[in-house]
Amino acid sequence: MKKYIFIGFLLLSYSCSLLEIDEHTGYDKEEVGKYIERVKASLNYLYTQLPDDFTSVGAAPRSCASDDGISAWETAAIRRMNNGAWTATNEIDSYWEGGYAAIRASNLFLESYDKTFLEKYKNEDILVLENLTKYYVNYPYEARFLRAFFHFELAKRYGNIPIVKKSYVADSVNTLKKSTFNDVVKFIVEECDSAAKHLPVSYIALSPAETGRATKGAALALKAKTLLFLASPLHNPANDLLRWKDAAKASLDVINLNAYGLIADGFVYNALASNEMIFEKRFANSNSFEANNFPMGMEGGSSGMCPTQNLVDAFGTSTGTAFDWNNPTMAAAPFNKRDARLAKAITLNGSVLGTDTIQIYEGGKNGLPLYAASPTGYYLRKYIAANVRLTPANSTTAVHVWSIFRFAEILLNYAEAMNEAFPTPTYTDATFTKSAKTYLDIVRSRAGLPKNSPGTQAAFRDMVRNERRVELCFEDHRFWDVRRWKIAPEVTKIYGTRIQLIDNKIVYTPNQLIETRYWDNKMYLYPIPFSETLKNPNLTQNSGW
Amino acid sequence: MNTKMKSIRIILIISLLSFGALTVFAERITGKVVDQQGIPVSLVQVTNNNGLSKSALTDKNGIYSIEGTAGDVLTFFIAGGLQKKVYVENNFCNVVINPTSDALEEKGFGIQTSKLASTAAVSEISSDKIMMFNSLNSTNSLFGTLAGLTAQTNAGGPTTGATLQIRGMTGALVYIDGVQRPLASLANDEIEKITVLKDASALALYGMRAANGVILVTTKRGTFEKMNIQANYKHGISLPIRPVQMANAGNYAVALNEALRNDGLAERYTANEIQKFRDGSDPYNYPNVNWQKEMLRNQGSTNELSLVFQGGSERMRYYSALHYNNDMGLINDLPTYSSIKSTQPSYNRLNARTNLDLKVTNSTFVKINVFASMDENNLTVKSPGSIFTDSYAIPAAAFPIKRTSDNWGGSLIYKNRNPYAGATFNGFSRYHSRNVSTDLTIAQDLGSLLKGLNAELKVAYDNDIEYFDQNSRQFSYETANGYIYGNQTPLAFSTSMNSLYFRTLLSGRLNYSTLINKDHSINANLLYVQETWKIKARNNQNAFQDFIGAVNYGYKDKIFVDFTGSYSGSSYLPTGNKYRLFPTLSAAWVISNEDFWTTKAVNSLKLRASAGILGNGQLSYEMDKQYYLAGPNYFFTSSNTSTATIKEGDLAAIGMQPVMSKKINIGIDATLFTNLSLTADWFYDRREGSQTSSESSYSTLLGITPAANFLGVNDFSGADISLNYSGKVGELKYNVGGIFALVKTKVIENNIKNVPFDYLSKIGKSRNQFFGLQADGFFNTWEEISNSPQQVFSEVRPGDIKYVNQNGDNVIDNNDMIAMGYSTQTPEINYGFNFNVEYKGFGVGAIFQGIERFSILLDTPNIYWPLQNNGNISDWYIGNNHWTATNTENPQYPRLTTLNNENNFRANSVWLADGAYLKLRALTAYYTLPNSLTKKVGMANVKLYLKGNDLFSLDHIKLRDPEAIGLGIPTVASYYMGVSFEL
Repeated sequence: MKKYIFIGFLLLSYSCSLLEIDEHTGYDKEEVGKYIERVKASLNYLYTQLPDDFTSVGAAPRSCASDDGISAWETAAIRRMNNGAWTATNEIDSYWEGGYAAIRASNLFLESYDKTFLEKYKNEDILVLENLTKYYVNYPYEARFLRAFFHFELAKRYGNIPIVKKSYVADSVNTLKKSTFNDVVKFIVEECDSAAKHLPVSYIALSPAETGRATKGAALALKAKTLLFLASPLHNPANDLLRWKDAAKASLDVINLNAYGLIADGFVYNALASNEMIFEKRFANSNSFEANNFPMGMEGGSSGMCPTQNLVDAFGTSTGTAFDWNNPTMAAAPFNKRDARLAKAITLNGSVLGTDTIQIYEGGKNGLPLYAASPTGYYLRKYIAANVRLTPANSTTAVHVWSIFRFAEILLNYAEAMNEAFPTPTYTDATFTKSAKTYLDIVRSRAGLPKNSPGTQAAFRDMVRNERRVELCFEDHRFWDVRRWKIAPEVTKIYGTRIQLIDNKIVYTPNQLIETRYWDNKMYLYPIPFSETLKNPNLTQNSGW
Repeated sequence: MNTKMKSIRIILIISLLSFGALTVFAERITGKVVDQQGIPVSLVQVTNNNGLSKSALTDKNGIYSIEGTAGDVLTFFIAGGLQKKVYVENNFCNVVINPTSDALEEKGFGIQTSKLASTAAVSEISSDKIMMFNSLNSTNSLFGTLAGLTAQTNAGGPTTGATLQIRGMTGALVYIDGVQRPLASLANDEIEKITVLKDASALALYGMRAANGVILVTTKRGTFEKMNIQANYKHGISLPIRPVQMANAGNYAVALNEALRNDGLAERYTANEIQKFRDGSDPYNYPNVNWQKEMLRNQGSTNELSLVFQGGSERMRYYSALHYNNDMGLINDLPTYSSIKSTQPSYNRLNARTNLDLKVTNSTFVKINVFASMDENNLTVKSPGSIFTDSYAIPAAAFPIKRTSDNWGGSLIYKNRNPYAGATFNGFSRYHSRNVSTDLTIAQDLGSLLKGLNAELKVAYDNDIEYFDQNSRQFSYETANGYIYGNQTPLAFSTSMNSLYFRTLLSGRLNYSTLINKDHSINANLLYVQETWKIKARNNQNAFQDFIGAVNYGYKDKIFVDFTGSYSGSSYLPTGNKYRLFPTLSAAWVISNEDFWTTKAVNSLKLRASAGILGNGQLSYEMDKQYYLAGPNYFFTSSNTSTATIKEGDLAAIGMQPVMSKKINIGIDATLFTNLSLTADWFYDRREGSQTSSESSYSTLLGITPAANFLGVNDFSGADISLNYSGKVGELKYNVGGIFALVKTKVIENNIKNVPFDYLSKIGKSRNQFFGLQADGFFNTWEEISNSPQQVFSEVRPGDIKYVNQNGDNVIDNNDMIAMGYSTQTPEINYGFNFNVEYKGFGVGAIFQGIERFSILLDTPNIYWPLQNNGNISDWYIGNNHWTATNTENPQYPRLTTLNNENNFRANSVWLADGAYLKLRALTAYYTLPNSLTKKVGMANVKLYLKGNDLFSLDHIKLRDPEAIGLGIPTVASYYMGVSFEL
């Protein structure tokens, strides 16, 4: 009998485990917190959430919705940002969900951060402990900086937004209220100040030297940029000059770190170690950006973002004067003796990409009437790794690094803010020992241009804005700058250049109107997703949407 | 010592007494078995429930003799599924077998009931209906004959199956010989009958997996006769249904220019160029390639060869069969550039089956089923589906097959989609699959312990695998201006294992049946079932476990009551909460067996009612817990070192539970005027607890998708009716039947909150109700556009669809979509009718099937949505009544456009079509040679036949098969001729 009971027991225990199938590969929350590598991995996740503008809307960068670029594809979703189809139910470039998801991840990290963790490692080798400690104590400040950054990205788009400082449960999010843009800026500035106090200027001295992490400079740069937005016409209708001074001071703080400089030959994009780079988003080696933006007619290329003639014209001559199509000498050879940055940012007719000489003239290998060839006569160059090959079954890849803050931008932030804060661009005082003109000239001279920036505030404003457009093109600035300067209605006409090969001579016919973009002042801010306004009545819609 | 001997003797006597049957060995029961016309029935197996008597067969005159005594219960069994239990009153027991009421009805797991005693709603077809169809996938053999089961063709292809829905739900389980197995690999000829279980009573045993209905497939088994050998050969051809003629290059160029003009863009082709397309004067630069003609052939072909050995004796019965099938698809055998294989898709399958029924001892019965199916599918690497798609999608004017340089033609628009090059140059794939299914059932009659007690044990073990081997390479192509793109690579080889299945079933059953006071029958079952499925890779296995008690009570063949309780568990449910109790209660009243029933016209009438709760525990793993998962890697250091990241996974679901389906069914079974049988059922099914999302409830400020919950409630109701009339006029035998099924679905709760406008709510509407924008004609002028509400989908130009603004907000967007038409998944009405007439060996039969109240969206690119995304255009669209600058009066379709035009090409009333159809699903004609003639050469039942499937369709679509409007492998009308004979 005992035997049967035993067999019965065996059968019963087998049958009970029959339904227990557990093949999970994730960790539960405790398992994450137990090991320092996993805590670190949770922090590292936040970096993956940093925005970039390689492919913001479908395969297209957001620059295609600025007057610097246009997607070669009629069907590209981003074209709907320019034709009035953009609504609160048809958001096209929504960041609402992504931004708050990144903020939640930041809050979860901060809530689970265990200060006593290092106790466990106190018996480790002294060197290991030292480096561990140096990184580990920074983690909450990295997270707070990143959380502030995500808030900035949201406020930049949506204006007044809820500040979310903790991870919520579902029941409590439907009553969260918006904070004013001013309050969001205040929060970001406080967080940046606190992070800047603790984060190192550089990780070079540590082992391993995890460059790419948030630094003191990154925190101060975010603060400077945020304050620049607060001072700009969009958010500073009364033109409170104190805001411009705050912005200038914040940029000066970055400059005064004396940690950054301008690379002699110009900005080297996709570089992993650069004295000019303050903060960047890193990527694995890839070739999708090239597949998206190589000219049509190159193996694997699909044109993607095509620079406008508007932008090309903003690049002056090598002597620092403006370019003019009406000057017959210039018009005959428009790309000769131009600002050296032109050829580095834009693929022109005759440019060489890898081993291909690009023919954008009509009937050329990369020119109309070829399907999806550039409508403007120009292709993208900046951020493109020209040595990448897209040959099927034999393709190559290259590293891509998206610049979030670089030193030239800080200098231009300073020049702009100083020019607005004080009556003349040459103004200096005890705090602001260097003038707007001084730093603008530094940026211009790096491009090989003479130091001849103008002396009046208005003329200097035009020049600093043009310089910003040229120096920072395709780095996701122009789209936001035309908004914060409130000049968007003035830049709706998009021009291209017709290029023909006539009697073996290239003939350029500029100012071909490609499209006139739809503009409504509501578009200064993004619409809050319509469904969000239904779920949480406190999320009032931005005006006009 | 003496007392010891005495006590041993006493023990011996007691133990002998306890095997009470020993005492009746001398007695015998004899009798005669006849059918309702009084004709003796031979080869009826008679067994005694005392568990010891040797079973017997009736002889030519229907006479049997078996050991037994009054009070025993004899079981009369006819191979093929008839059984009758008779209470023996004295030593003579004559029996009348009724083929209708004594037929066995399967409930699964070895439990059967006679039709008479059944309280369940089931539909059943037998081999004759199934054999009207010739598909290699048996799911395509269920059209129009089973009330309550809707089969819908999906697409073409030799092994593509139909979607099956039982009473409005997909996801029915298929049990083949009591084990969950795929129906796709069976040969139709192996199937004895198919039973669809529909109501709570029929599904009671399936507890946690019953909610969506069950299809039981019973394969053929041996007989009590000497060996019968059946041979069959069949050859068939298949013709694509309604292929669409695409525009020639000249017409395409004209249409493209029209579209470009409409888009406000420059025309692409000059009149001169169009002329060159038309006259073929420059075929390399102005090609006119009819891709369909170049690549496709007009008909596919099939062959089937089968050999069946069937027979047996009282001790052993066997059914052993081999079925070989070959299918050659609709692609031409094109000259390949590797001389390896043909570009013609070829599918070969060999099925082998042996089903054995063994009587091991007088009380021990064993069933062994062994089934193996092996197949080989040879295809080009560019799959037949994509060859068909591209033969529609690549315009005739796009590029020549080859350039003058002998390079493949291509263009930067279509890149390497030269379909001819793809078919002939990209290499070959070979798929091999092997399915082996085995099961063993041991039934022990324990009548010697207790009269009427039986035990049964069943074990099944199935093992399937599919391998994949391919060689592939890429080609380079030359564009019109002479540039070469792509990369001609050498052959590369790869081999992999695509799928891996492992299924097991273990069940044990204790059955007790008895008669109390002669009038009260009790049939009780205790059942344990466990099933496991393991498929390749993670979270891809499941297990179900059931403890079941089922009691059937019968009173005098008049009243039957079934009560079943299933305590059933699913591996998907959270630990500690894996089981649910599923009770069902049902009853039947056979009014026609009551003494007061004297209505002559109604031969039999039974009322049935059932109610119960059943479940569906097929959920997803890891829903009940939250895990932290690997995120995308990130990169630090000056050498961009990759580092791991961890992110928060989905929130743990709240209230995880199986779908609980509350089913009610009321039905009648009747026989009228002897020959007309009728079954009608009304049902109501409320399903609670389907998985829902809370995304619409909580702001995305939460930062993560809110936890899933299980709040969905859906109602299903409707009726199934089936009718059958069989009669005989002289030598003319005929049979006419029909089915009609209505199913109404209704969403009661879907947890979608914050719906901005009432008409957007799906509550109260059919499940999968079509929603679309209501068209209000077409814009004719720019003025009309600027005076109308803004339509946000894409730039609107004259000739585009104008929509009705439903909410008065002056913007046309997705919030203006309203419910229109019907469901796009479940036809509300499914009907069918069939007949078979036989006269002196000649016969003809047909099955028609149709659906009503069903919507489809005509969204096929190139055909309904032409030219967009560089697509092609058909002669039909060019010639149809679409908007043009000069046809603005009353066009039916929007203007041509080369752009995406999301304004026109979306769910709206223009593209909504009535999906109803009536199809001739099967037609057969045959002649059986007189046996007197064929006997001389040793053959019997020599039959010559013609068969056809899907021969015509009456519908509203006309241009395409209403069931398959897509571009892939087409559905086919097939014609067969064959011969079969017996030895």
